[in-house]
Amino acid sequence: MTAPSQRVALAGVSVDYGKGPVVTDLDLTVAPGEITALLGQSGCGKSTTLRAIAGLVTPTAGTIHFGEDDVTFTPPWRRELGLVFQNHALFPHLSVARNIEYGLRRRMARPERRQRVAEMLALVGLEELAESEPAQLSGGQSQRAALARALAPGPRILLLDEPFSALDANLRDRMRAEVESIIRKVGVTTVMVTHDQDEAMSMADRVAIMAEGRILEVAEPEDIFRRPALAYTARFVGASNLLAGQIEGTGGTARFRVGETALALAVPKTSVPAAHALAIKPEDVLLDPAAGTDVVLDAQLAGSKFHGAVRDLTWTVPALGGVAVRSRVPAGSAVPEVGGRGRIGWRSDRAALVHDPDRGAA
Amino acid sequence: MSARTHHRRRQQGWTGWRVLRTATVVLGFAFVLGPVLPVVVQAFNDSSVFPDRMRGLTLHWFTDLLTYDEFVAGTWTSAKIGIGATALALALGVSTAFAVTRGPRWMSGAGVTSVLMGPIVIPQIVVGLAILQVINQLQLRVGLAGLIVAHGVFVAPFVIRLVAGALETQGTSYEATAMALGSSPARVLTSVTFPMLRPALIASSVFAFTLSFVNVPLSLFLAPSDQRPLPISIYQQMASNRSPVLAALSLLLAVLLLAAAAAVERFLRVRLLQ
Repeated sequence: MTAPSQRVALAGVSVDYGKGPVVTDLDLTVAPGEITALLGQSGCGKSTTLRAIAGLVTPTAGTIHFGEDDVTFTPPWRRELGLVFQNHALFPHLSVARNIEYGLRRRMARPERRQRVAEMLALVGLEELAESEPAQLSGGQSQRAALARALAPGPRILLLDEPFSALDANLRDRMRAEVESIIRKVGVTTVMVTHDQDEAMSMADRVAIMAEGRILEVAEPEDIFRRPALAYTARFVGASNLLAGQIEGTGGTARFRVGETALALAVPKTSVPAAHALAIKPEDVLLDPAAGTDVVLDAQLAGSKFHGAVRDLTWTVPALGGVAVRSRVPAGSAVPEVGGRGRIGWRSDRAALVHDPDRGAA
Repeated sequence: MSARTHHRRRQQGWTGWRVLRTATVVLGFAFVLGPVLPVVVQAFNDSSVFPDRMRGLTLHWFTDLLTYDEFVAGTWTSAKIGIGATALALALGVSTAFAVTRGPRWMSGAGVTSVLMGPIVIPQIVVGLAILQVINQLQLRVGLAGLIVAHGVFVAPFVIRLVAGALETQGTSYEATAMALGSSPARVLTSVTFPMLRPALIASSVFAFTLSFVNVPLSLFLAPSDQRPLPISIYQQMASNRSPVLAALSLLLAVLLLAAAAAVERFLRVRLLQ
């Protein structure tokens, strides 16, 4: 079902509701059949971007293309969309089957419609509940019904707005996997909006990090997680430690100077010019590092917090000018008393060089 | 203080609270329903003096009702006004509710809302007098129309409140979903928005009709002398000829209105009284 006409391209899109821009000069391309997640905190403009793609708001600048078609000023009902909201928005006065049939009413004759509804019910496994009222469905069932309804007319683009937020934690994981497999089976181009990084990482082919109405970076989930380009991403996605400093030297001898100390760097595949900070995830900061760890530092334990399966430690490192470094260890690890000394370190290939235009401002 | 007595103290405090709460509810009912009880008693009292002490049970005040032409005619008049006023209030109220919840931001401000609630706040006697003056000065012969407009405007705020509340709760996600599925705004309105508003529309119709049906102040000023709404007929009977028939009529009205509300709740599955 994947076709070039299912490509989505936003170019220079800005949206302004009248109280300053909510989305500014945004570029985004989603390949046919791809799942792209817009990930950001609330108020970052991700939902507004989705509404612009849906045609529910008109951009104040820029263009939106579906395939070759310029849909910037096309009303939503002519965009061939599927839309699933957080509340699933099943029409309460219609049965599940009638909900799914809703988008087919003007498109095909009754027998075809019946057949299509049956196919969709089978696709999401709700055959038994065809005649149920939406109010009788569980969270997962209503999620599946909403997805079936959105996919029934064969939309060019599927838009998901925080689709799992209304579900409880256990169900959420299962529904993510299920929804993803249905989307893959149908092959529809998907843009989803979420504030939940697990959701973005586990479902999307590409993740776009958004803040203050802009897309900061777009990359595959692994890259966003392992090799973020920006300090904001490193902090938001991995809760990384950020050490401000400068690169010294080049190639194999490159080091990163933080305060008095030059830290070993893995050879950067692509040099990161004017990198301002080194990002290391708490789980990559090792306690009593084993041989072969190329960054080892003396530190003093400043704080220790139990979180069930893991324990979060905060260290003060004199050699780095007294900055705090957070590490995350399995809850059973032997940990010194708070105030005690220890050695921490990391493998240099686990540290990422990042830009920090805000210079550490939160 | 031991933990045990501390615990008991807390329990006593709890019991005291429960007694107080029950007493409040009982008193509340007493205040609301108490004054109605004498009317109920008089409606069945076999005495032509009203009010009087109990002299025996009878139902003939109810059968007598039909011999009072002004009551029968008044019921029709009131029903006509009620239906007209409800239709007007729905037209005004529903469109205003859309403006307040879906319109531009300035329409949803507190200032606009308080202006819209005005007809409830301004004394009806003032409104009645004002409309009467306009009608007289323009020398219009309006018949029931004046009353229908006055009642319609008076009950419209209740419709606005109920429908705007329902629209607010509904949010825009259902409408957006319907649009994405290919429905034009007009079709979204008829296939999603209005069907979802059904309970609020039914409830506000029932309230609007009831409020119009029992209204006295506006009717007092604006009723044409040849077409008197029921409450005005009752009022005039009360002034000229006190009879237990009035108690019977009042009781009958109350029971009928309650029964109508209950029927709407039961058969149209709308919450009115809860």
